[in-house]
Amino acid sequence: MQRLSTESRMLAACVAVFSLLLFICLVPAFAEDPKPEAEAWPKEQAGKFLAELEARHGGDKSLAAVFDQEKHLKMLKAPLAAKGRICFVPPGRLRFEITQPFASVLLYSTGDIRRFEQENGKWKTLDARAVRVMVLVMEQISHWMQGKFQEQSQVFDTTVAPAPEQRVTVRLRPKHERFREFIEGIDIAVGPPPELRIQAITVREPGGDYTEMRFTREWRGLALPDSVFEVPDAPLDALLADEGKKP
Amino acid sequence: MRAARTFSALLALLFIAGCLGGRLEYAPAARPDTKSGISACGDPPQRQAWRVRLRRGRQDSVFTVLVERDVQSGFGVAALNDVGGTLFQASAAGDGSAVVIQRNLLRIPDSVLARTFVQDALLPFLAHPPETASAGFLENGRSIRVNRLSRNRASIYVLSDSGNTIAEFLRLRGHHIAYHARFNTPGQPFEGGHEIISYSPRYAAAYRPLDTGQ
Repeated sequence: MQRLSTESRMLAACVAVFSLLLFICLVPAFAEDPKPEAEAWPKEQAGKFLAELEARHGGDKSLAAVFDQEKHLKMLKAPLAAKGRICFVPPGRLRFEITQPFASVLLYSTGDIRRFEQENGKWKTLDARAVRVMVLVMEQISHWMQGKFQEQSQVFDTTVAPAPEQRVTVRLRPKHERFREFIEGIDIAVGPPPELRIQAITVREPGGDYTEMRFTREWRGLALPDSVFEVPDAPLDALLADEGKKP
Repeated sequence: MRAARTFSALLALLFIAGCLGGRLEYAPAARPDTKSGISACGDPPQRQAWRVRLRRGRQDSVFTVLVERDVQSGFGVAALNDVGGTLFQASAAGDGSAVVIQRNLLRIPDSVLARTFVQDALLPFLAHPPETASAGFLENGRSIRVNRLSRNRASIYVLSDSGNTIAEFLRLRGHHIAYHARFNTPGQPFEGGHEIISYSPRYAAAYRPLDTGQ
């Protein structure tokens, strides 16, 4: 009996090892297959979800978020990674900051755009005339972070599709052909309920290049001082660190 | 009639002179020095990211340029803005001749982009004199290598004090400077970056290396 038991244990171990090897061999093979896009929800269900999202994140609450950004270019082997922060106070105050691998700040306050770059440890003012398009992009990002998708209906076809682990993807596809020359589509990853946190924004360009902005932390309803939207060296690190310590 | 012609010629001369920098006087070395192994940098990386500050006219812009070396195809060069938008993508051969392959949002013709900003980003990879370059020296006594491209055009490589690295690179049209690049840390351009003044087309650019941790 003892002998049989040892043999069956060995057989079970062999099966387990074989299964593991099979799993290891098969997973990369499956991983290389492009995943088919999940079927979008019916319009009514999608509308209900977007309304829920806006109710959850909308309003006049301030927003601060930390993100990791990756630019993937088909032409290059590895993506270019950056880290940054975005702060927003409705209706019209915005701060977009890259903290690594360089330090750059774009401030937008009631129509006034200012841009700064840190060189040799000192902040230098840059010409902000050429960055109006970037401000528009950032405004869009802050709208999406607030769950505001209804206003986008003029520009994008918006659909909602389920994603693994109770997550949801909001897909924006440009309506105008001219716009599609530059942006194929935008995918917004929404986390599971009840938080429905905006986890990532992926901007896909024609030809397969894409930019992914993954939000690693966010703070809503923070009392952001005016200096955050007025000067590049506002004490944002200290402010967010203090908030992080709060229970 | 003759006065009009003379006036037109003067205007043309003034225009050409306005598109070029100052005069550069140099003389051939009486006895070529024997130092060899001159290069812009020791060991070029496979991948380099630059933060570029570009001034054209009264407008300046800042963006990121990524250069990746490829043994077979040469170089891939991409410029990106801070929100990840692609400003241009170009492919360059090992000799620096480039072609814009996707997008060009800098509002300049592809051909101009290929021989200006793309080559600027590649400069530390490529700025080393060919073996056929002749030795010479500037008025201030600095050693140079001269690569004569045509009767009217030449590339000048100004050597650092150590004599085995390039400190400056110039393109001459006649005796006038058309393009002037200076390495902030000769011999280590991927750590110190470089600065460029181009007279035709007219712009100035500063290339600061970025540590992307890759």
